[in-house]
Amino acid sequence: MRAAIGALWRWSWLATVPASALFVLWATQTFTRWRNFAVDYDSRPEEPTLLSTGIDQWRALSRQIRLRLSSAGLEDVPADLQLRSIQLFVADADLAKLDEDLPYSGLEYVDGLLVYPDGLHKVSVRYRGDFLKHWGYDKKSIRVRTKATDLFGGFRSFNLIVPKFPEQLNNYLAYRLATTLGLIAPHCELVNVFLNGRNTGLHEFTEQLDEGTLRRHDRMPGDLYAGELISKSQYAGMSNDVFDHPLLWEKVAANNHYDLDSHAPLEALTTVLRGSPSEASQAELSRLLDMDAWGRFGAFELLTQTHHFDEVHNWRLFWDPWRLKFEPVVWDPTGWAPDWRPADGPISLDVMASRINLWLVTNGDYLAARHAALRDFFGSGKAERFLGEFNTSLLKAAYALQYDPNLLPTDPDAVFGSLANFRPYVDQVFAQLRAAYFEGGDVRWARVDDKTVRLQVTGRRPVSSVLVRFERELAPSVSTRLRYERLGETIDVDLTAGTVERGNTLRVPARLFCQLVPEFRCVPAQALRNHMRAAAPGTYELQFDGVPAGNRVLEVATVRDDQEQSAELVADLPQADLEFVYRATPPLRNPTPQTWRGDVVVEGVREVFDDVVIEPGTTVRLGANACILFRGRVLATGSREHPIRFLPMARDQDPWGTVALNSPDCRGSRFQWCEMRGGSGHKSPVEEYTSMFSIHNCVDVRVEDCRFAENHVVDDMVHVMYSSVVFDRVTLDTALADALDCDISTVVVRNSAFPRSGNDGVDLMTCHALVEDCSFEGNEDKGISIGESSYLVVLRSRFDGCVKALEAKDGSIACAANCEVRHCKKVFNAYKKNWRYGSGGYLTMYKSIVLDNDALQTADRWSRAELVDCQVKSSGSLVDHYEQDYVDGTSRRMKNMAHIRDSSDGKQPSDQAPLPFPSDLEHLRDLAGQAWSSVQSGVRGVPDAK
Amino acid sequence: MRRKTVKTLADLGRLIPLAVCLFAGSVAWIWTHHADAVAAFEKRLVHLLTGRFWGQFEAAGKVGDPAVEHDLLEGLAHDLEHVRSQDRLSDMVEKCHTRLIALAEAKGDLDEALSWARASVAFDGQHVRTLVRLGEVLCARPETRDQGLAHLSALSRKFAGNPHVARALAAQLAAAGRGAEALDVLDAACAVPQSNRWIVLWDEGQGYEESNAHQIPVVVHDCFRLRFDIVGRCKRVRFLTPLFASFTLVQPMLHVVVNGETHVLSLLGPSASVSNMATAGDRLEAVGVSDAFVEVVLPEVAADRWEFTLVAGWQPRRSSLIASPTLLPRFAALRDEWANRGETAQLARLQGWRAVAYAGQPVDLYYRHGKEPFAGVRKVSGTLGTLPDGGFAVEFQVDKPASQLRVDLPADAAGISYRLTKLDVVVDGRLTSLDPRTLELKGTNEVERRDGTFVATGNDPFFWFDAPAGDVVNSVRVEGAP
Repeated sequence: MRAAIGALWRWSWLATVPASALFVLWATQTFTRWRNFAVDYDSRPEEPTLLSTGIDQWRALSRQIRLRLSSAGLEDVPADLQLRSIQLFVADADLAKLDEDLPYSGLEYVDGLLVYPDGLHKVSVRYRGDFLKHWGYDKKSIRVRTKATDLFGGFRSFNLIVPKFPEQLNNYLAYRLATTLGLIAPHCELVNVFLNGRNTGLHEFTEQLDEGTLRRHDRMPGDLYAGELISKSQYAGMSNDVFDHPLLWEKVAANNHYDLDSHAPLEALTTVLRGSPSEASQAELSRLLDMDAWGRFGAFELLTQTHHFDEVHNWRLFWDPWRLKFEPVVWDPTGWAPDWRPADGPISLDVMASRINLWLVTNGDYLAARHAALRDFFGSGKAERFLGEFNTSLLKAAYALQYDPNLLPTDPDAVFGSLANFRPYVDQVFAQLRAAYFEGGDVRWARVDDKTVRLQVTGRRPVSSVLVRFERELAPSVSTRLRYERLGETIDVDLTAGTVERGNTLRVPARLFCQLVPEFRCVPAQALRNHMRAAAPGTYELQFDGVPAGNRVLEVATVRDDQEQSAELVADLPQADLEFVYRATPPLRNPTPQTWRGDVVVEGVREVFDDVVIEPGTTVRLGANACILFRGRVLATGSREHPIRFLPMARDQDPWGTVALNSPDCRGSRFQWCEMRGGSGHKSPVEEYTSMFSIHNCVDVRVEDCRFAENHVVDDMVHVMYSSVVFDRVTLDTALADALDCDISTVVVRNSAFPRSGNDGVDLMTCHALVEDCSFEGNEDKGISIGESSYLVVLRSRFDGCVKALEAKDGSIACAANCEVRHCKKVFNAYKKNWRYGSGGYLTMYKSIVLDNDALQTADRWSRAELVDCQVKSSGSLVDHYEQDYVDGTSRRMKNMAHIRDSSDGKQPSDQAPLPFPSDLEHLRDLAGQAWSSVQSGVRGVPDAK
Repeated sequence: MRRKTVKTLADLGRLIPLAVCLFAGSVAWIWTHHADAVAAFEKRLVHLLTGRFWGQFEAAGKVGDPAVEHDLLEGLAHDLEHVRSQDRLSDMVEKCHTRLIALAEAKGDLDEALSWARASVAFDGQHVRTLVRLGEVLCARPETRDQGLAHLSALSRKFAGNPHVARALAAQLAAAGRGAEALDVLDAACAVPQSNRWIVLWDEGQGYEESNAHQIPVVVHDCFRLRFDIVGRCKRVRFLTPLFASFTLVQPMLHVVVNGETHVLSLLGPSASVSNMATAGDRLEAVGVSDAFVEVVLPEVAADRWEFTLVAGWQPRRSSLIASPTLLPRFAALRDEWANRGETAQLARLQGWRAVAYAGQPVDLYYRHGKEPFAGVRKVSGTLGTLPDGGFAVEFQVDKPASQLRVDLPADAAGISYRLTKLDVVVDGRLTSLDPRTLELKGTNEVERRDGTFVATGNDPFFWFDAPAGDVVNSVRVEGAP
């Protein structure tokens, strides 16, 4: 016994020395961390204590030691459940610099290396985040910035974020849901981050919002505002409500046509939000917000139960200067966060965390859009697909977390327990939302008098129209009005224009809602959930004029979610105020178009909301800087003998501004035999038109037999944005710069001429385009410029005397056939212009004549430029190297990667087989497939007209 | 070395880690089973690490001698150089800087004041008042006045409508002889749309801790309406107005429907109380200051659902807080100058602003009988209201025996002048009109009477005088000219 004790004593150091070392390490780390974040730094809202710090530290240490000693690792995870790994390398000295005085020291970038698919690349690295979880533990949230010309997966700047909550996947899954709903959201994926070869655990790879985010979502670059007045961004000596301080929002992306300090659109929005709700102010809100997007955002808030978009932070609003609308951008959504999870009781059926919520929940346009988004989500299989992805992500995360040495929270039971409970909670949320928004609710009605019925709507499902059956057949002259009362006012909406009569039944386009009444209840520790809304009946009246006396209403039915539902007839329904619904049914557009004829004089900026018919022979005379902004459909159909003309009012005046179509309601507009001369553009603090004739934000527009000339001051002669337009037999003569500039649109140009443009004949950005039978003569830059992921087919067109016939850039693809390029300085060029794009341009010209040009085509190493089966003099004389000029004024000597194949001096093609549709233009097949079939493979150049 | 020594050393080598282990075990046991002991230890440790700074700070506040206070605070500021803007001690640093600026200004050392003002902004540029203070100090030095005005102008663009900024800029412009521009600044600040975010707090019986929600009111045809329901118990309800909001509610009534019964409670009635708001007749006024609220005690009814509707007539009003610099002597001088030059339009603008500035300011009347001290128990409060001619008036209902009366002018208003024109005292039902310009004062504090005008020289200005002979003072009315 004594010997055993002696041996135990002798060898006790084997246990006590490591245990002591461990204790000293724990004590030192605990004290340091507690001192930093509990004594020195004000970590609120988190309140680390010595006790909690010690416990966290012990758990972290013991987990790290256990994982180090374990032979298992991430490599043991089944391949199909493995997450991507991000490998970062930062020198120990630089890491020490970052950790020197947290959190302050962590915000300065240090050098690092990141493993790209082709090896190590230099990057800059720092910590990021406002709160303790981002930098107060062993796992850090990191921001990585690449060089401008060396993007990582297309991203210049991205974050590796520590998951905030025990479930770990809250943000990731919320971003996935946002994408499912079609919202603008940063790219996010779950990754394992390795720092200097050592796994630091599960992170959320999250794109840093910038202009690239907008481009990836097919939005023109514009102002992307960030509303953050919290933590280090908050001010003392004022409220930190972001909607009270428009000028304190920062721009994370900016429209460079305006000053960086300009916040005019945001000022307009916040002025509305600081006013009193009324039909007028809610209409203004509907005008400023893309309600479809806000409806999806509202659905997103409900589905994720996020209350994180509140009065003081987290707002990212994109102002689209071309559609004149704000769109929400999802940022840091913290979906299904425990902070807002009911201990018992209901989930939030409306999120009222911010002032914008307070407004929107009473706006009929928003309520309808939100309901439509929920319906689409639950009714189109999106919910099931999302939940499938949810399960897979949970599984992948669970595997990754098993080997995560820096779990946060540090208690593994809390993490894995939360993961197990996550899906049931989401199921519960979805079930409660389905029940609240798609089940129950009825409509009752009562006769007020012979021509008026009163309806009472309950339940959250909106009524989209009302069917009213009368005793006898109706005459075709019945007019219908919707009326409701609010605080002594009567709101009266004429619905006659949208009412359809069939026999004895009227289908009235009355959109009706229940009311959502503010209901406050104390939800302990969840103050943002204190404000909820309770569904209460909404009362309306429908009034019918022109119904003969005695023809009573027999029955009423409503349409909700596309299903007819009979309304219950009751003897009496009391009139009641509709206090909490505005724009239940917005006023219908005037069904009778304005007619313009003879001489029409326009001075100043005239906004025209009605549809307009412009008769042949009309001359619209515009004063200096005068503009016509059409918000409805325009039918300007002139004739060869009686063209419609848009001209300056006086001979020597300054140019007029713009004639613009800008609204989805302009759909179907036609301009035929029109002439425009003497215009320029228009710019106000919130709205800009960069051309004499602008087509924005509308589809199915045709411009035929028209002539545009003599534009001044601004860039473009004609500008197309977010639209689909066909130009046929159009001449854009001597444009000041670009003749036709098209952005994010679908464009067909046929039989048109672009002589003597001061810059490009056609300039495409992110467009799908077909150009047929056109001529480009003497353009001082490109005949056609194809940029930023544009796709183009050019057929039977002539390029003569241009600086370049064609140029493709930045992920754009163009194929031309049966064309002629003569007397140009260069035939074409393909290159990578914008660092945001991973590739250059791809340009192929088939069966064409390329003669008498100063230089053949060139392409940089990211691009392709080919002549295939063309008539080319001096075939094969491509330059080896060339100077590529860039927009910043620099130029670089590049190796020419262009090719010429199967070409010769002669006109006879080397191959007469039909040309298949280009495989890399597959998504242009609908637009250009048929036209491509007209390519004559037996002809080089433009075939003779039949 | 002898073997015994080696053995002793080896034993010692075994003993020390064993002792550490035993200690570690104790710590683990305490950590696991005695959280309160760890918390107590933590408290002591925090005191050990930061207590001395608090001690120094408090000591500096207690010394009466500015020079000593300056030295103490300067030493403390030096000791706190390691503190950063988001640290727990940042408030102390900020206060230290603020006081050092004031002390430097008081002794006329504007260079030092500027140096501290700059240090303060460098420490935390997210403090509106700190930023404003820098502007004020820059303006105080002739060689940096333009820089100061530019700084304040930039702040007024960035923090549009912020009263701290607008007041400072207007005051500095007036001091620079640019009175009209100063009034433009005030106009612009008041034209900025105010916040409409009201916070409703309700007390379920445990105070207002977690029971609050926001809501926006509806204003239609000058009628104000704030409607909401509360689910749960409810003892009191408080309406916190938007920060710096300025408006008048006329006949504000709270309609409470509970258990099918409607109770109508006046926000000016006995069940209501206000804070940082003014009442005048049937009007309840928010005058532009922060933390302004009205609170209503509800009928004692057992219910789980309450329906509230706050209704009132609505009138916009300009912020007294923003208007307050117009009461400074430099504006009084401008008033006289414009009056002499016949610049009636500008004069009218200024007088309008001065009337706004007076309105809603809290004024107290203390009374005492015989040798009683003036005390809070013998005090009635009122707020300055405006008169049709732009003047101001306040009336106190006393109905108590009193031989002396003390008028406490609005606090925190050093430099502001009041042209008191009338002092009507009703004693035993008889009205006696006193002339405040010639009235014999029995004492003053931080207020001087110059040419019949009372000028506050400090932040707690008051004066007292003998009440007219009689037993009971019924009421006192004070009037002033704009």
